[in-house]
Amino acid sequence: MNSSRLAHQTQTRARILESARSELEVHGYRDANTARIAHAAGVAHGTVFLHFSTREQLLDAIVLSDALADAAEALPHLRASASLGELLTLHLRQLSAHLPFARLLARELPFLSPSLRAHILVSRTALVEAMRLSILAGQEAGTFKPGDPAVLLAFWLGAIERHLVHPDLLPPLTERGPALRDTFLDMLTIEQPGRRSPDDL
Amino acid sequence: MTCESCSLPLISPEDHGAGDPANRYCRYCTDAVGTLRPYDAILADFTALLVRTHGLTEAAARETSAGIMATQPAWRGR
Repeated sequence: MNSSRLAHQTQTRARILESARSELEVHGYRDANTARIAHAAGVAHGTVFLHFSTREQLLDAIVLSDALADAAEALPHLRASASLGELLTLHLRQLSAHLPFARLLARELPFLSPSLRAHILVSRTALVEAMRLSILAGQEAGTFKPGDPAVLLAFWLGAIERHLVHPDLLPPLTERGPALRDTFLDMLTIEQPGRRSPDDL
Repeated sequence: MTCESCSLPLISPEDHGAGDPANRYCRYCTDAVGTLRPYDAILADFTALLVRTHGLTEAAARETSAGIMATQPAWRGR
C-alpha cells in the first residue's frame, strides 16, 4: 500500500472515530446508528464497516485512543513519582477532557461485553497503580493513615463513578472534583502542624 | 501502540521489553532480554495488579486479565 493511500485510510478512520464518539455521547451505545456515523464522517455507510466490523470495535477503538492519549500525558507524572494530590488532579483533568464519553462509559459499563468492560477497566490501571504506590509511600513516611490502598482507592473511584453516572443529580466533576480530591486527601492524611497544599500530599 | 500480550500502552522506549522500541511486548510481559514470558506467569502478574489497584476479587481479576490477553496477538484464541 502506498503512503498516500495509507494516509487517506488513517484520516478516514480518524473521522469515523470522531463521528462515532459524538454519536455515542448523544445517543448512547445501544441506540448508536452507523448510518448517522457515516454521514457525519462524510463517508459511505459501508466504509464504516471496512474499518470497524462491529459497534463494539468502534467503542473499543475510542477507549484505546483515549487510553493512549492519557498514558502519554501521564507518563512524566508517573516517572517523577508524583504526589497523590497531583495524580488525583491528573485523573480529574483527564476525565474532564472527555467528560461526555467518560459518562457514557460509566453509564453503559454493566451492559457491555466482558471483553470491552475489561479493556475499559485496564485503560486506567497505570494511573491507579501510581496512586496506590503513592498511598503506600505516604503510609511508609507516616503522612497517610494505614489501610489497604485498594480499599482506600475504592472511595475515590466510587465517588468519581457516582458523579459520572448521575450527571443529572450531582454537580459535574469539573465543579465538584477539587472538593472530592481534597476531602479524599483529608481522609488519608494524619493531622500534622502546618497544613500543606493538596499537591504536596 | 500497545503491548501485544497485555494491551499496556507503549509510549516510551522504556515501556518496551528490554527497552527496545522494536519489541512488540511491554517490559512486564518480557524477561531481561526482551523475550515474552510464559502465559501463566503473565496472567498471574496481571491478575495481581488488578486485585491491588482496582480491588477486584481474585476470580474477577483473573477473568478480566485472561479476557484481555485472549484478544491480544500473542495469545489470540487462547
